[in-house]
Amino acid sequence: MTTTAGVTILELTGHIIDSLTLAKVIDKIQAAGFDYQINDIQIGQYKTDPSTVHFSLWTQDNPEFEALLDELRAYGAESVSETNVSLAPCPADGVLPKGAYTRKNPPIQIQCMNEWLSVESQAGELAIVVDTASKSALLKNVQDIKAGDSVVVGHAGVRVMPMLKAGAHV
Amino acid sequence: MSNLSQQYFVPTSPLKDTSRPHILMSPPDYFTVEYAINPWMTQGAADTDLAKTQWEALYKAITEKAGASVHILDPVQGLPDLVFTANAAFVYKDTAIIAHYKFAERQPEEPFCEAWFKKNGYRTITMPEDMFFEGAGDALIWQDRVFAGYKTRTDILSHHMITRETGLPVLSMELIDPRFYHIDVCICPLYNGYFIYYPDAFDDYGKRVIEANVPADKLIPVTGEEAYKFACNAVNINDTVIFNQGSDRLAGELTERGFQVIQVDLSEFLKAGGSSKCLTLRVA
Repeated sequence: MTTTAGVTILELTGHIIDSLTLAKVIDKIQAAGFDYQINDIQIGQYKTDPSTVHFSLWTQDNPEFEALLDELRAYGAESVSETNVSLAPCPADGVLPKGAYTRKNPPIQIQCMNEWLSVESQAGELAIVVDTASKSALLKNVQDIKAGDSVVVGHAGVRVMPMLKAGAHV
Repeated sequence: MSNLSQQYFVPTSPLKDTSRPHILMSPPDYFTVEYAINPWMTQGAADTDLAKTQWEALYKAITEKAGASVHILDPVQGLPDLVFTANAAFVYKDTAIIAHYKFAERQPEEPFCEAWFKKNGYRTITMPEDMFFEGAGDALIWQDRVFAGYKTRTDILSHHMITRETGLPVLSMELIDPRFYHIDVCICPLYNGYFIYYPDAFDDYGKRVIEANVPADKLIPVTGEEAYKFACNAVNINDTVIFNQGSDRLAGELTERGFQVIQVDLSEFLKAGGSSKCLTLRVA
């Protein structure tokens, strides 16, 4: 769990409003007798958009507090990641190392002639290439990957922002 | 309202013949109850020969009476629960999110399931090592959203993967009774927007979510007695509903609403905590 100056910061994301998961998590905190503060909340604009909330709990050094954190994890309340990603070099052009983190573009729909149409992506499978010297990261199509490119492996340290927002990228 | 096949699988399924629904099943050649990973598995050994007879009856109901095509996932010796293909993956259009089982006993099934989907042209997504997800056993599409169970077998964080990879909103539902350890044993979305569910498998939050999403005239609650006979674990193919025998009241209610109901004796599979829906996976 992330703790800052006696505060544990948790993130809850997903369709937490419609699922009543946010309401349940807050009820659990209150029922356990602890205080919390909502730091920020981003509510999905559309039905398909997830919502994200960050909230603070005042850290206490007792078993009841640890039990509450364990319980909240089961409802998806996760610490804000402080883990760095793992990187591995690509062994050859177009070949990813084992366990490389890849994904395709998220599904995007457009309303055209009063009908929602799915946008078909031709981008294919994408990997994250990291340049530690310039502290930059770039999504590249796997077929454009070069031998020696440093790519992200595993999921640790990767945060996927809420999707389907105007101007958002993969 | 169109049927689920039209909405969710056609025409983007990698399977070419989309004129009829496609179901994935795995014969019970090696089916036994060797271990206990749910409360149902403590009733004693299953009769494999009887299970084969019961599975054949389900297969015939699906192919001959409901008119679906069945694809076969080859059984594997030592993997008795591979027969429960519903758990293999969550399928949406050309995407298959492959299960990552909570219990070590079932994890060896994962590569066999993933191989089937890859071989048949699906885009496969796998879960991180520390995130459990039990396929369509815990994620069911109703209309334009997914009702997904968590806590007993599936991690709630895995639900993000469903939204991320399919764009579908997910209603996360906590399962509070270990006997109803997957959401497909306590709800069943049906053709034309109907929705079978067992209310006592959910807490008040879950009941409110169901009631807020499904119109009252489409909700069909089942009794405890019916739920224990796995009435919610039904196969629905267009207007045909197939479930384990012994739920005549529910069968009558569904018939009144225009469904053709087929009851099949699946007693041997109930000993492992599964019934007709668990034995099938809609793949197109």
